[in-house]
Amino acid sequence: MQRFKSNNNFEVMQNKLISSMLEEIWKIISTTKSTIREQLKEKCSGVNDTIKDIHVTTSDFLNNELLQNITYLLVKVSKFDLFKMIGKFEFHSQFVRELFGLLEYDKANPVLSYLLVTARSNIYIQCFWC
Amino acid sequence: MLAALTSVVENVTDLGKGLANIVGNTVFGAKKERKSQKMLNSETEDPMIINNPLMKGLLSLVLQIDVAVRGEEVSASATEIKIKTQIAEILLDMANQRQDFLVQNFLYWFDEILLKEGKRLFNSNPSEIKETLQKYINAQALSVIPPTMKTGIAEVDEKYAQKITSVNMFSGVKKKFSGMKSTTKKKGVKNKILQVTSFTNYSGNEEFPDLDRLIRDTSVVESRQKGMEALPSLLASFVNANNTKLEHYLLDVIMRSFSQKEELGVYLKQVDVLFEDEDIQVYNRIKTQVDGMRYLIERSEVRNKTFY
Repeated sequence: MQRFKSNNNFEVMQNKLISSMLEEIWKIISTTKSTIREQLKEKCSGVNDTIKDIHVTTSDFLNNELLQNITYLLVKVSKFDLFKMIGKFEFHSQFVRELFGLLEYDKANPVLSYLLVTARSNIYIQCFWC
Repeated sequence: MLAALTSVVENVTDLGKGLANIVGNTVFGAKKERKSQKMLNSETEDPMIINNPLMKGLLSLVLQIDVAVRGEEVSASATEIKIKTQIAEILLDMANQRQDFLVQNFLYWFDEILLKEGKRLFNSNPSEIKETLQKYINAQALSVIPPTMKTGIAEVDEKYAQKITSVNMFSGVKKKFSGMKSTTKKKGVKNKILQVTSFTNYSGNEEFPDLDRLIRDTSVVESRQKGMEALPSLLASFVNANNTKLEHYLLDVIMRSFSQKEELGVYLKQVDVLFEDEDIQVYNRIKTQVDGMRYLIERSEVRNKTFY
């Protein structure tokens, strides 16, 4: 019985540890997305969207090996269906939403990324970057 | 500094073009001038020019200088491409999980029919079984077919939202289940079959949503999240992508998102339902071994990536 109890606690602890680790990872991705959004807003908010050739340089957030390793880790996590195993089904949605924000951001065409997001948020109420 | 280097590269490229013209004129004569210019503009029509060692050497020299100058930039975009490719890979995995759920949901639906009609079907002949199943398919098939994802264009979504039609994807499935036990006793369908036209979760487990619903915030009211469709984002990323692998991944995500029904039909035809205990045991044993193998492969991949 004692052994069962300790094994049970081990599993609970393991789940807690994985959950908190994933939450930290989520925070890193989320912060990156917010920082990109803020900088884009700052640089592009005064830009008239009819001017196509305007040049805006933003910091290269996606040249980030930590972020790359994190996404690699997430590939493994999703392959083993870890979210379901630890009973955190809502993580699927949380992560996918943040990752879509990163996918949309294009370093070579920051203005285009910004215009896309602005156009969407002008038409609709919510967007990935909001 | 980078601008200066870029202009140097451009000058070198121009010089390369000039040299290429001279080489082209010398080797092939003046008439070939247009052809060599074409080749430098990535037109690869004439294999003779491409295979010429002088031209090859010249082009690789220009390329090497270009890479040396832009090396840093290339490695930076390589990280970005890796991140995006991995994101696309995660999205593809989500599509796999969605399909797993859809197949599971279909089996639960079929199980529900068996529970309701099992006894009666047991005493029916094959044509009656077929008839009963056909009635269920007509009445409830739409409840196991996933809805089409939205395009993000309101007019298109409204136009096609209503036109959900039953597809012939069940033709193979019907064949699979038509060989069930039967006797010669005849009985009609007594119970009225409930008509279900919207997608229903029969599994009792949490539904694995499609990408459109995954990217929505569950804490925010759905009507406030109009425009949160995946397709515009995926298309924008595809247009911006300048890497073939990434483009393939993104196209794959788009295609799979919008062909869920067809994929479900294909998978259902492949489903092999195990009834015998012995078969189930063998399956479980093999599944454990395959899972172990998968775990080893993934772990070795991580190890290789980390240490080599």
